[in-house]
Amino acid sequence: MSAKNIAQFLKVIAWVIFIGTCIKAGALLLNIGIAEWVQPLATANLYDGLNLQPLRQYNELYYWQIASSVLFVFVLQAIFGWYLIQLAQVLQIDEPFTQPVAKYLTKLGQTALVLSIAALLTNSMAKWLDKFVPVLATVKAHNPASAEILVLAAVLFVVAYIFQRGIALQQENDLTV
Amino acid sequence: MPIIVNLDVMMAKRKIGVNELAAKLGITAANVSILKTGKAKAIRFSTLEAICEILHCQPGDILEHQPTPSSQT
Repeated sequence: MSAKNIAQFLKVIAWVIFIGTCIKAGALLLNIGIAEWVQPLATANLYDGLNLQPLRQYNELYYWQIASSVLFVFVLQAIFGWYLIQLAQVLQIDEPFTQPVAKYLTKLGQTALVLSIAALLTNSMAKWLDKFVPVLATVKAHNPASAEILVLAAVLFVVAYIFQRGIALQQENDLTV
Repeated sequence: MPIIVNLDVMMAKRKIGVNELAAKLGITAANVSILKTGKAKAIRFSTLEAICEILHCQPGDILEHQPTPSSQT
């Protein structure tokens, strides 16, 4: 696979991830709106089997907390996808050590870090609420594993740091006559 | 940087232009310009040798060390 093909493949994958996560976040947002203003029964299946009806019947405030947390996680996933597209667009396989690449790698790392914290908080909240109403299983099925994303964030930060060093070395190499 | 590149002075003395020197050195005019304007971070011995041969000078004629005020103390 040539360098040009790798770049093209990366762009396609990034767009697929972004569109997929946008659809996910958009569908959840739309269904939350429908459940609130049009059909309250929609709470039973907010997105792909996400059933928050027992929680809503138990406590409206807790329902909004969980629904908004899950939505926030979905939106963060979409933002992650967006930065992935930006990264794929600025990445030149022949000369990868550029400032924009390092910038978007850092942004991806930051987004992954916030995503892992948001996922952890959502899971913790669902775990606590599970004592009163069964909600953990449905939330866990739609919430990414925070530990894995935290590892991803750490890896991205390390890669971003390596890129910063690479940029410095490349600049030095460019200015060596 | 305390190292001053006096390539422009030597080029003026020998009446040689950037393009001509670049062609003789076998490097791009942009790289000669980087060297001339003092933007270069490093110079290869092979480049320095070629410059000295073309301009009939010594490395000391091209490079000069000017101590910064802090390093003088």
